[in-house]
Amino acid sequence: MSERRASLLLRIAAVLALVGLALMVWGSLDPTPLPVIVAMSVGQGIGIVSFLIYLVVVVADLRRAKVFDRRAPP
Amino acid sequence: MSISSPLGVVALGCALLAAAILLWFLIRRPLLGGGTKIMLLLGLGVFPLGTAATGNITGYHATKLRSFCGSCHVMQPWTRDSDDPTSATLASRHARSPMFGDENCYTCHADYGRLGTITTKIGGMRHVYEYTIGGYGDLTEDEAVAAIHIRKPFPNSNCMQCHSTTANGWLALPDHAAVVDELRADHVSCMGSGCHGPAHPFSQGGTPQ
Repeated sequence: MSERRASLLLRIAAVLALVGLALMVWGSLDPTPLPVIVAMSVGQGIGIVSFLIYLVVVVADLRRAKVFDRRAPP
Repeated sequence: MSISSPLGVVALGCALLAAAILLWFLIRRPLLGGGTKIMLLLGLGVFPLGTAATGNITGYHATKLRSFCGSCHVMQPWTRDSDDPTSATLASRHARSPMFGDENCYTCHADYGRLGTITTKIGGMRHVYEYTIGGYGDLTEDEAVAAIHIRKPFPNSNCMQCHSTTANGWLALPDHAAVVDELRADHVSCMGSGCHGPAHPFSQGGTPQ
């Protein structure tokens, strides 16, 4: 994965995480049915997606660095 | 959750820290080195996890409160009755017990047993569906009192969480002793007319007993 693409993905993840955090905090500060349900489903779902994007970028980076390569370095 | 509660502070603090890191990343556009990725691990993983975990705890607690049930306006007649210190209904008298208190709706209506919490929450989701999409949200309070009814007969096992039916004082009452087996088997309801009556008599056309 190119540096540019990794940066773009992480920026998308950051924006998603900010949205997810806002929804999670809304549910915590206003514990009525709709905010709580939105926080515990949509908010956390968005947060999970953003973290998965981060993991994809990190794993791709580690693969590029051949961290998972079983052969010993020369 | 009030922001003055410890978990509220933790949730908001984690969210603010995560937001600060993410905004720093979005605005400053640092190079994707190891330090940046560790910061993003905090901003995308660790701190949001803290917000979600504390949010789940406080959210779960909030759903057990009577005020949560009453936040849907059609439930107001029931929650007002529980709040009324002069009410003689079974529900209100239980709400005045510190064992029930602010969680009296949940304590009586929750399913018990191994999967009780899950089935209770699924039932709660159905309530939200009925309120937001099913048309109950459009009812007036008077219409709600006439239309809303318990989905299935109230199980005696919920009463028996506290009233075990084994105490000597309880068994000494002839009315109890005569039907103890039927009560335990749910063949006779604790809230039948002639016994303790409905817990919310105003919505059943009855009177408190």
